[in-house]
Amino acid sequence: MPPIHPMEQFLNLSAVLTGFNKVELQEAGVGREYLNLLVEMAGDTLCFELWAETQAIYAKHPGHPARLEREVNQRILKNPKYAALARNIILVWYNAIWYQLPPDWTAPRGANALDQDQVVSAKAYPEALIWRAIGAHPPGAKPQGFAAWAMRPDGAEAPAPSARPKARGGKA
Amino acid sequence: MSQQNLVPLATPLREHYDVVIVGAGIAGALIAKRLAAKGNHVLILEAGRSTSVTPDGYQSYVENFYAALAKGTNAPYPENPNAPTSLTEIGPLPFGSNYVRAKGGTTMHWLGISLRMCPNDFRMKSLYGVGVDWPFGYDEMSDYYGQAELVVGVSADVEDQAYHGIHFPKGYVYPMHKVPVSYLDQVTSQRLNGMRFKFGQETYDISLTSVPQARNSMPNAKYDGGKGYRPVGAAGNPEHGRRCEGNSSCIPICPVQAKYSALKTLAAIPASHCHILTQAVASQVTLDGNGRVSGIQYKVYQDESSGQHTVHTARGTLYVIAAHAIETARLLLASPNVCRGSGELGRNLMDHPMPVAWGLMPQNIGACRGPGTTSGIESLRDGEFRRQFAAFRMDYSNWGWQFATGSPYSDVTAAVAKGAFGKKLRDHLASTLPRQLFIDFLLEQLPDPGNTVTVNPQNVDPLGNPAPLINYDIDEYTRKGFVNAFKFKDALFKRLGVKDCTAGQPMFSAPVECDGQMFYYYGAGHVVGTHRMGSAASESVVNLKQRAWEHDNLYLAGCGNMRTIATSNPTLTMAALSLWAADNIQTDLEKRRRA
Repeated sequence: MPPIHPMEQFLNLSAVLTGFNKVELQEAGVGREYLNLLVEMAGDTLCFELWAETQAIYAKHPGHPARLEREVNQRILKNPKYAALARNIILVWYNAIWYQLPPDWTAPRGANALDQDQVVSAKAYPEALIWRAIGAHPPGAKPQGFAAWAMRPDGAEAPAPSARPKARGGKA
Repeated sequence: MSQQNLVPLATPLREHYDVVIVGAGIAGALIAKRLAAKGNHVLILEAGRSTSVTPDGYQSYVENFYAALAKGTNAPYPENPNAPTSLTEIGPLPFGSNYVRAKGGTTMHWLGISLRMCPNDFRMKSLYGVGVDWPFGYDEMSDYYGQAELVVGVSADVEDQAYHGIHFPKGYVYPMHKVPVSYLDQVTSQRLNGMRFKFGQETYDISLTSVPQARNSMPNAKYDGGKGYRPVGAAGNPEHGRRCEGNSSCIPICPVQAKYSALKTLAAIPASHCHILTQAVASQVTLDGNGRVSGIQYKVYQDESSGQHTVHTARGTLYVIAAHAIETARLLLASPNVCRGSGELGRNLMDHPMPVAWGLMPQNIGACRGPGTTSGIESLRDGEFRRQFAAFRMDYSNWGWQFATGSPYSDVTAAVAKGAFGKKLRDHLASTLPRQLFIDFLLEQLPDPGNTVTVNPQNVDPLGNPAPLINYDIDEYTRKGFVNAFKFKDALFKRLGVKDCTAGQPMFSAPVECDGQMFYYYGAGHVVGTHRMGSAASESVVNLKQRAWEHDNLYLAGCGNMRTIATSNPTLTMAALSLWAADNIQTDLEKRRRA
């Protein structure tokens, strides 16, 4: 087995799980922080096994996105050993929030005092990918500029309507 | 900036000021600035911190907001046990609103909506037989409204705002053009075009109207007879925040200070004439033998995690309590024999109970972008139906369902829990979330003497100051308003083709039963009415000049002076009243100097 590079496999897995490619994930600049968090919450051993599994899936299906998705779904997302972690990897990228792992995951392994619902950090907050996914921006950060909110959003089919609100009130 | 206004605690204060003001929020700041400009020496006592006065301090608020899991109205502003805002509820319904005790006051987290009251709002009793009339009308307020629109810097177009009899002097323009309305406003406005709605025998034209807001937009070159207007930037950093950048976080904090806060007014007061003392909690208004105020006793603390403090007294010719409707009532009630004559002190507490609704538009409307709201439906702010039930205004939110459901985070967790991942998850979120429409209603409440702020001397904070007790209820008049607002919601959603997704109890809301149905409401933070003004000492706490009936050197300022809440967000009206109070105080000072 070739040597395992945790960051590389974390990004490989994250890309399949989130639907954001590795370049987009790296742009967020918080991969290392999330990887460290994951290791802190789930421990070295389990994480290492997860990276090994990811590496094996990638080695088997280089350049086949649909097959990668299928394999990740079967071998990781639907595998009780990894499922909760994999879901949290999706959530941490999208929301920049770490969600407490479910009791059926924690029970056999013992609770970790750090494992609480929390925004990962003030630095990670603006990098939540959900905002990018919906063509918006995180409240309080990365503003789109004066009057950008008045413009037709990317992906809206209808042409920008010309109507402007008129002042009117009271009885007809 | 106002570093210079911040008197270090060690510095001896003046023995005597022309005016001592309690509260470094908008009312206190506006009064202090106007009086300092006339050469008076002013002291402001502020219970909370001065964190916001340095760029680093302000940025720490922004970072607190980033790091907070629950991004509520006070998420940026840390709890301060020595200036607490936790309310003890003793009434039938929860009071859903809070406020900020820190330099800048509640304008730190307000949205910035700056509506005028409608002329009929001042005459509810004589027109509709409910509530009370004000001792003056819209025409007397009009000039002060204009002044308030300047000092807080309002962006709006006069032609949009002249409805329900609201009128402006010939040639008047707001300092800045209206904040451009959002894409979702534009889409829905087109669909609303021509909508009518029937309440009782009356049919009302329904339209969407841009909302005036204290947020920097494009300056209007026609302002002030062609002199124009220069947008006011961040306090202490004036090149910053001179235009709204669309940070979409007006509540709880504008990172660039394009939204007005009292910090801007405070920063503009010359330090030579205004001392601002922070971490100085007014604890008692003391009287001399003639019933005149002899001083404000205040407690200074260094460390907010300890109740250790020193006690001091500030003295002046005149005194102004401008500490927020709840805190002003609390302070006066903690002061023996102050403002007790009418029995009205602490009564008539009002807010806008705010039910919300949400759904999905058929198309992408670009949710979650821009200021909190840019348009509202003002059509039902007034009408004959007010004889029977509460009027209301309705805002569109530009922020999707965030407020009620925790969207978009909750939408991600829900989809992932169902097994979604990868490209499909991303596509699902991208195709649904930008369609989110969210509305809220601000329902008027009538003054009810049973809605009260009281104090219990046994129930004290670490400094020994009694905490406010709130007894709050929503009467039948407003409950009927809930029912009718939701009838309107149904018609609106049908008209817009919205799939109604309103279900269950929205996060952090409170239930209220109306006509056998369960509704949910939030407080709007529009806290009004605890020390109302009036033309008779028997039924009000302050007179027309906003001076306490019983103490001729004591003025009260803030939303507590308002006799009714009507449907407009109250800050602009309160700002106008505060400027008026400042003029009255100036006249009073001049008269005393002559005497």
